[in-house]
Amino acid sequence: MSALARIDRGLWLRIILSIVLLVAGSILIDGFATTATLASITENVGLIGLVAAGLMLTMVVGQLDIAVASVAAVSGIIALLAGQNSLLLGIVAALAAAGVYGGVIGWIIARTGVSSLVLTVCMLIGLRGLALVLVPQAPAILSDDLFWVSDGLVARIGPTSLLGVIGLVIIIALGLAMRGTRLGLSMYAVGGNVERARGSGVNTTRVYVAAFAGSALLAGTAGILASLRSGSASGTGMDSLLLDGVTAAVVGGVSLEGGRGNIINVLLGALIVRIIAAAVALEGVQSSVESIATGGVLLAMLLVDYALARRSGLPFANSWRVLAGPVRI
Amino acid sequence: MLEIRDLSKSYGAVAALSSVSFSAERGMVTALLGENGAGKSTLVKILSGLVVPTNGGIFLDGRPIDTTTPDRAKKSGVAVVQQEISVLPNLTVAENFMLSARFGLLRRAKAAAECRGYLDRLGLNNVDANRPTGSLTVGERQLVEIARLLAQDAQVLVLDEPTAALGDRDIALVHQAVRRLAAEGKVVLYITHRLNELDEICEHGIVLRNGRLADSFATSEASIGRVIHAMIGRELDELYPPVAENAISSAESSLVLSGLQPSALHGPIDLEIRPGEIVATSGQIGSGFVEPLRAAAGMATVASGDMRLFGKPYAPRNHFERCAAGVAYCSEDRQLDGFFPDRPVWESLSAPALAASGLWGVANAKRLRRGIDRVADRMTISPNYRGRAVRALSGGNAQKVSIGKWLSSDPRLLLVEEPTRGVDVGARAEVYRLIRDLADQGLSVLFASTDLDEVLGFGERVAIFHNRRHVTTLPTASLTRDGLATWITHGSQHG
Repeated sequence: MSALARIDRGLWLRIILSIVLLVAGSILIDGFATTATLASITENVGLIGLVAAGLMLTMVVGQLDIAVASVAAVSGIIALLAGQNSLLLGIVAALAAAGVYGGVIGWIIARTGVSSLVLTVCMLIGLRGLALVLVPQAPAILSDDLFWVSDGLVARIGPTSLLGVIGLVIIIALGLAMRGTRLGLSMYAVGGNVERARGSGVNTTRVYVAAFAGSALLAGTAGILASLRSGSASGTGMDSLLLDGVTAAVVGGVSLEGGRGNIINVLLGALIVRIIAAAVALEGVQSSVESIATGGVLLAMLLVDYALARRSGLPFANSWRVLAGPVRI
Repeated sequence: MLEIRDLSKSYGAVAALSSVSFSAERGMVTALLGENGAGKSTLVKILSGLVVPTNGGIFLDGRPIDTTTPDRAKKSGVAVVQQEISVLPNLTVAENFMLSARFGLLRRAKAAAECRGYLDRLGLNNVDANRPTGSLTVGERQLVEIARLLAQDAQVLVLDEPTAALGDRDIALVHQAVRRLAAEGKVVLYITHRLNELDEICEHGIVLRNGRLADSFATSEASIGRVIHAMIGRELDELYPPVAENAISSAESSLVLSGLQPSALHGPIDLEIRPGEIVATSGQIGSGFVEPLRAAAGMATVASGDMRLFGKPYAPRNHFERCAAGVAYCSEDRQLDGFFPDRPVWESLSAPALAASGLWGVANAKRLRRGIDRVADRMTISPNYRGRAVRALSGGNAQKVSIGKWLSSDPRLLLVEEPTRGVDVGARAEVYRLIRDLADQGLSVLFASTDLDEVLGFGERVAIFHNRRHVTTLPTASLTRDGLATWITHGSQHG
């Protein structure tokens, strides 16, 4: 019982939906049931999952960092620019920048109570500008003698690639940390009710800083991996990470209200999103179809979660207040 | 022994607490009494580290202790059960315990086993440590909160109205726990508005008034009259106003429930209320005693039976139909739906009249306010308060707003849940006075309450509920407090 406590009621639903989509795709679409497709799906689940896991951190504490895509873009650019000679230096610099950004945002939100939605929209725009300042014309390019990194990341490992493995390992480690550390538990507490959490002895400032720094680090990691994979990082790139990440997190049942959400469901959310994307890509139909399909699944999952929450008497409806007003602090 | 020496806290020119000194012995339950605004909550906030005092010190066993932050207060051995309990509903019981774990890594199985012991000590034997706290009753959550403090090995326990939201069975559990804590040699500060709790569990009493120490006494020597005098600074003639002699009485019933079967109850309700009558419903929490109010407010699904309002069939499906029928309803959670906490008082007062005037008209703020002033006069809400945010008012004045707002729409039937929960004794008399006056002018009142003294003193008749059944309706004049308690706990006259 205790091992399953955090695995909520929607888990089986998401597993079944993933299987149904996989089976339907295999039957209906030529070339879907191949290891290449599977590897592509899992690799991207690792990438999107990193962003979604980061969003989960901020959503669990009852906030939202909407600037994750900009953070990923800037991190990717820094990694390539600073990594011209030593790739390690580039990665460390990029992660340090992302971590500092997240920590500062978390600290400001904890101390001033300003709405994270508003603050991070500023950051979304500002960091995108910074990305374009860093690489005004041509994208940053991975130097030729480092192209083995690119090849290495997409090297097949079982049903996925090295990039997929890196992403999944980080995500699962995060999931274990959320469940097994007091900091992780404190995040759920803060998201449940920040006053009560403080009353229970939780250092809420530290929790906000950790959530936003963690989110930025995960988004930065995703940005670095994506840049290394493609060997280039442009000032306008990685825009889609935000929407994909948010979709994966919400399909994964993370509550915008805060205090609820777990990593396994988020991974399944990312999986569902990527299966749809892969199916649409193979069918060769327009990307508008992918948007409609993803939007439809998102809506369906919200309705199902709503119904499940109603049955167990939890106040799911409150999460809609987030959309109508400022994010609850 | 806990000593408070010369403690002061001022906000600008306003002194919330001025040179308060008293001591509380280990092994005793010390009651901390006072009206809203007397400085109790400031004192509690200082003890819990949320507010830093302007002056003065706190000493435990002769040594000064540091309560400048919540963390330091906790380390100093001070634990506070806030009025708003702080257990997190989205975490399990064991997880709530683990929030204050000493190490960064959680040991879930060990924590669950450990908290089991504390839960059992408080009589929560049937509560699984891995259940989400949100699925527990309010009383059980209160006890989890106390259990969590036991686990932290606190030396000073401050309980801020721990029984305000509890039914009799849970109150007994809490009292038992509090006595045990005192017997273990802890300092227990017990804040309450229920004066009968003084005799039941407190050995010593401290009264604050206007931020100063007003009285300090052993409860065995102090009369209720002395306590009330210390609290409000004057004699309180009568808490419950008598029925006026020239009160309107009528043979026609205003509300009749005959064989009404709400889905939440196991048996039907039969109840009749006449104009000018104040009728109580009572029972333990979860006994279904609020169901007649909910049904009459259109909030409960009704399986069968008949409800009539002034002779006409009445079956409201929502608040809109209820208002149209002239029925006013105040829920127990007035913070949630009693008023607009952040808006000026007059806006809350005008809301029912505004709603009744339809959606598409033009609202004339000036005319609305004039009408509201008339209502506010009747409710003795001082003109100074009418422009202030409701949040800034005391519990008593806030309750007057949440009940009084209905006067602007001239209701014929008033339904009130827990009319004086969290309202201090002076303001309580005013709330009773307000409702009694309305009843004397012909309004029918049905109120639900777990406060036995209130049921007996204020209600003319009481509908008693037990185990989700309406067991009987009795005139309160013929009931003793013990008699009513027996009815409520056993559902019959004999225990």
